[in-house]
Amino acid sequence: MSQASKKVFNLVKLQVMFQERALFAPVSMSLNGGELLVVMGPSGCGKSSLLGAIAGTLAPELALHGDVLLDGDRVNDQPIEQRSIGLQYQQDLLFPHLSVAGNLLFGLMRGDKKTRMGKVSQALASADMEGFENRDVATLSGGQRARVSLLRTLLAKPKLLLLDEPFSRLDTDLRQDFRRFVFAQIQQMNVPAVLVTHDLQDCPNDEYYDLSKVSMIAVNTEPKVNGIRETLC
Amino acid sequence: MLYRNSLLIIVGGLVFALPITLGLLATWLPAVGYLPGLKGSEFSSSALQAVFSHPSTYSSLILSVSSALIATVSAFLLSQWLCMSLYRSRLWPLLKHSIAPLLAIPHLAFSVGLVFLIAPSGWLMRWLSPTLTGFAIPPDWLIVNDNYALSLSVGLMLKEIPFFILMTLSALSHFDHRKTLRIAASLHYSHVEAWVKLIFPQIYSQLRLPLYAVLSYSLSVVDVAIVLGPNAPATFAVLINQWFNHTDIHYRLLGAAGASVMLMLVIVLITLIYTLEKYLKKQSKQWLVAGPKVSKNSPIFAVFAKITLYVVLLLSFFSMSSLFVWSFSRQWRFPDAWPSRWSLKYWEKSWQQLIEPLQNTAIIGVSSALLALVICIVLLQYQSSFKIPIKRSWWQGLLYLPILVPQISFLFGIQVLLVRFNLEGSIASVIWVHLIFVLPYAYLTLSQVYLQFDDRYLQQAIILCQSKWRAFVLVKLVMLFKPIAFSFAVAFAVSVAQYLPSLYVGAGRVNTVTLESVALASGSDARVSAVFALWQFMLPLFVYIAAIVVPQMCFRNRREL
Repeated sequence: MSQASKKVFNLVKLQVMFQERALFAPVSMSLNGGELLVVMGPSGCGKSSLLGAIAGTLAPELALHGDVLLDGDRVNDQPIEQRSIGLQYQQDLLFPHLSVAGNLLFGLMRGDKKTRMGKVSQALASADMEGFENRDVATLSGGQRARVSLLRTLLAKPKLLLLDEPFSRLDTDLRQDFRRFVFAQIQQMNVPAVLVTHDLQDCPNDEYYDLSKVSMIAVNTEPKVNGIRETLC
Repeated sequence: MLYRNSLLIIVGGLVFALPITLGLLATWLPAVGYLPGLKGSEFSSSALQAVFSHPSTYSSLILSVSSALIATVSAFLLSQWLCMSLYRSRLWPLLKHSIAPLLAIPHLAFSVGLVFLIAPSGWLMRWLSPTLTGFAIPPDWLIVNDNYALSLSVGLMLKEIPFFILMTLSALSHFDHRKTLRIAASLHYSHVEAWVKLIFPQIYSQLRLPLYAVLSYSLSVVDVAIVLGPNAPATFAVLINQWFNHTDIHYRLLGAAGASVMLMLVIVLITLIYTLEKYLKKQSKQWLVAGPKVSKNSPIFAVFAKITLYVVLLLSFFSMSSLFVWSFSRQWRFPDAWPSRWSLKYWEKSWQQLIEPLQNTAIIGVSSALLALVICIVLLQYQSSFKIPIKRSWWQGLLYLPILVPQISFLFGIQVLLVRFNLEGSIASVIWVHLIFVLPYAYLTLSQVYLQFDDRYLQQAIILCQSKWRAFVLVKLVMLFKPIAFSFAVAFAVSVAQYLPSLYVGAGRVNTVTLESVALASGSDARVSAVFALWQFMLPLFVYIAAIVVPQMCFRNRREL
């Protein structure tokens, strides 16, 4: 326990309850900066509720038990805008009324105009998108949109990154590219990340968390047949 | 593609724009002095000069502009503020569900009810008197028809808030606003800042035309202004209407010139708002991306918004209730909160007077709504088979034309043309002129659902029954019965609410419930006035209810329809 709480992000016996019924067995996990945890499970097993509980977007009829700890602080009762948790959905949700730079600036904290613009250019360069500042987001390709969207989330300096099936809308080729980009950015920004997915290929580690079983499952050591079928449905 | 687009432009132009263009031209000619049949008519600017030298013109213009701007701007801002503040509150479902019944109330019936509620001898004063106010007789205050047109502004504002809310909800449904707000919150934005910087800029493009339409309507409305507006001088639209109906036929020239000034006024104000919009957009560019202002969500906003919503709902509810109470009252002395004697007498008494206008209103409403639906279905079927989207700006502009151009600026011209061809005063002409205004609403309520219809159903049906027509009627139209019925009800309600078109084209021979209600509202017996206003309210209401109930009965065993 004492070792776990030193990590940046901790879940302690987290449970989401609907009318006194738990959606899944208690979940505990801890992550350090740059670490990625993949959560899998069949639809309806409570993946989105788990993300909602961490991010603070849980529907009011759902109750939360256990602790969400960020940098040692319990954030259960903080509203989402004070938690500093980045959200990434399968849709890129770029704001169509703002340019590429506008979208990226939107997430940056206030400050000197030049410094902010510099950060934007730097971020675009890291995505091989130099000079895209004034482009209309509607003119970007699917892969470019996805990258800008992730950069926007990361520029807000989140303490934790939540990824809700971020690859499922992309074509197979793009998906592989964008996966590499996401994993590299997580390493580079040194931010802990939780990734929820259906697709075993999204898992870069040797194990993933199966929410229907509430246990870590190894990818390399032949997983239980049951586990796989459930995770893929 | 170009050819198909141009065909649609031509047909759309014929349907939506031609009557208005002809009407405008036939109004502008008399405005510059040329009115066939009037002796001594020659081109001159004397009519325009006469408008500006008329003693009432300037004060009327100021009243019109101020009341229209107050009503439009406050209704727009309040609707946006209500949507923003109540979005996350428990009142959100109430907000969503209350707009349909509010929209179903015709402007005129609402205005008559509002008079009964807020007048010095109105229901509000009766509740407060004599205990709180000490009044044993109604005070000598000018609340309704006040000289600053404030009651007119308030009445219009109350009636337009639900319309703007409806438009806002419809615009919100076009993108994932929930996730957008979550993303913004995760980027440290408060709800208010997120709404102002992300949601509003994305929905505004769809609120622009409704905003202009409301402004044009508020500037040029006549029936509501007669009931709620000032008398000496009246608003400019009412003044023009008085000129048109003056016993001295030379006043028609003055009216035509005034009508043209009204059109210019609408164009100038819309251009000003458009310029302001562009200016604000340019000014806000830096501010939009300046980063989150770390501030907490304040609950005070939501509290005020809740109170505002309740006030709007209660005022509307009690306005309509006061009509009911008055219509069943026999004797109602001033400070009493309720009538001392009730009776059905005025419902029975007015029945004689009502049969003809009711019949006319129903015939005109049903015919114009049916015609509008047929035209809309033909247009939409053409669009859906060639995949021409409705979002094109020229198409949107064309559709909105009959709503944007003030009625009073071209109806006189249509009257002149109809008189010229001896078509004035027939019920068919009135149906046709109603059709001009009914069409856009029929189209706007039906288009989205119609164009989203999965035409593979139709293909299957054509293969199975080997007849395009049978397949179209038996499968597509039947599957779309619900939205078509709803569109019919909206079209019918729009027709019932028309005042000026019936007045100018009916030539006094085609009487409608709305014409009668306006005539009765100024003066006469409150009880009779209430009965007529209620009929104006109930007629469309019955059709709305039928439009909801009939499809439900037909498809009661069909869960997917």
